[in-house]
Amino acid sequence: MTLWLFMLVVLGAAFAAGLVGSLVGIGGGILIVPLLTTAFGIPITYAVGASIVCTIATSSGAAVAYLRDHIINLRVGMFLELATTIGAISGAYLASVVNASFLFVLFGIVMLISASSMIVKFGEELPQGVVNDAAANTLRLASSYNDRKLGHIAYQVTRVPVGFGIMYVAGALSALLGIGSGAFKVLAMDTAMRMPMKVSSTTSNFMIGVTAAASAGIYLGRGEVNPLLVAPIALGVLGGALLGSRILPRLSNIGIRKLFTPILLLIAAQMILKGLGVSIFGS
Amino acid sequence: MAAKDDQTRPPLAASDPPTRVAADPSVIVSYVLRVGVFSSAVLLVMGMFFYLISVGGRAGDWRSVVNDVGEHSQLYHADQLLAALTRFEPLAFVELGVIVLILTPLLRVAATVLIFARERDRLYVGITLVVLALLLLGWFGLGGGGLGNLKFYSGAART
Repeated sequence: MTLWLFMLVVLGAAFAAGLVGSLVGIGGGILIVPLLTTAFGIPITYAVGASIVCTIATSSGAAVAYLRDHIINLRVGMFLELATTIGAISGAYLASVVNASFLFVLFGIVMLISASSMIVKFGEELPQGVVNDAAANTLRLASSYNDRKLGHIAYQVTRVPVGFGIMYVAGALSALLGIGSGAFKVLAMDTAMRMPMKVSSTTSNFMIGVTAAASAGIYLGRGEVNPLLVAPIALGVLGGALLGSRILPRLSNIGIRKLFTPILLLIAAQMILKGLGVSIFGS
Repeated sequence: MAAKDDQTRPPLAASDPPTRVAADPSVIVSYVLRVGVFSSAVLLVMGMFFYLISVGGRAGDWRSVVNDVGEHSQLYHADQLLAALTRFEPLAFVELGVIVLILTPLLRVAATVLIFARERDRLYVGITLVVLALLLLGWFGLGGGGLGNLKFYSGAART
């Protein structure tokens, strides 16, 4: 394969990762890393750097439109970033102490259980009967967004402490395992805090860039970034994320949930297999 | 002439753009992100374009090229980067593009601090400042090393 063709293949795969990631609120590293390590045999050190760049590009690329369209809940995002950055930094320093294999299996199983709760409310367009809890009132987290299909949707936010706790874990996991942070963020907002799915996925999208940047400082200082990999990935992902952020307003909350659930299962499977030492997904 | 026209028109005509746009935090943060993403993309496209042109016909199998750049080349430290850029070394543009991309979320958090401050929202100024402090801690403190320590590889030493 010539260098040009390789660049085009990576660019195309990154475009797809950015498109999907921007819709469901994940970084897209889950889709890029297996391609790099398994199909192309790229060393994992380069793949990790590529994954971090992929996450930041998805986040920044899509959040431009999501912020402008007022789908992202800026207060929820900033408040929860407190938890994810504390988690990311503590995770980076716990890395030498904890058993990564055990964590992969544990949180893979947690994700599988979460996926079942997703499937239970597959047909739910908007959460019903959600009332602000004390923290949501103090922090003024309740907000609204304009849904192209449903009109102006005002929503409240509940179980904020639980969401905060899950966000801490999400931040620590992204630093410890380099995986799953976006998926846990969506789960925290959708399942625990009962926010509308679109608000959850876009606010997750907004946050993953900061979580990745928090650990990027620590990891890129040690790791390696190969410019010939990172450039086509960043450009492809940015393109995909820009397209995804145009598409999301046209989709229903149910549609995004249906896209998110199989990806959640894929991440869960990848984490469990990785923990058990099966490396069919590479890395 | 334009100023004259403005004066003759009724000041609050519906078609007139509002003279002072109410500060919308989301839109301002969106703008910060757009600038970061756009400048990063321009740098990456320039870098890749120059690189692919420069290797041109010599570009053989991708694996050898990618590995070669990875293994047999120098990294630009932050202080060498500017010099490499002035020499139009393609991969220096890629490196700067990646740095801009990675810094965009940090810049975005910093912008959010200012926006909440302008709204006199003390609670969220506090929250956002703590996030920013933690990010900077991750970058520059506790063995993070920061930008000067990033191990970027470039093809500079190859030729």
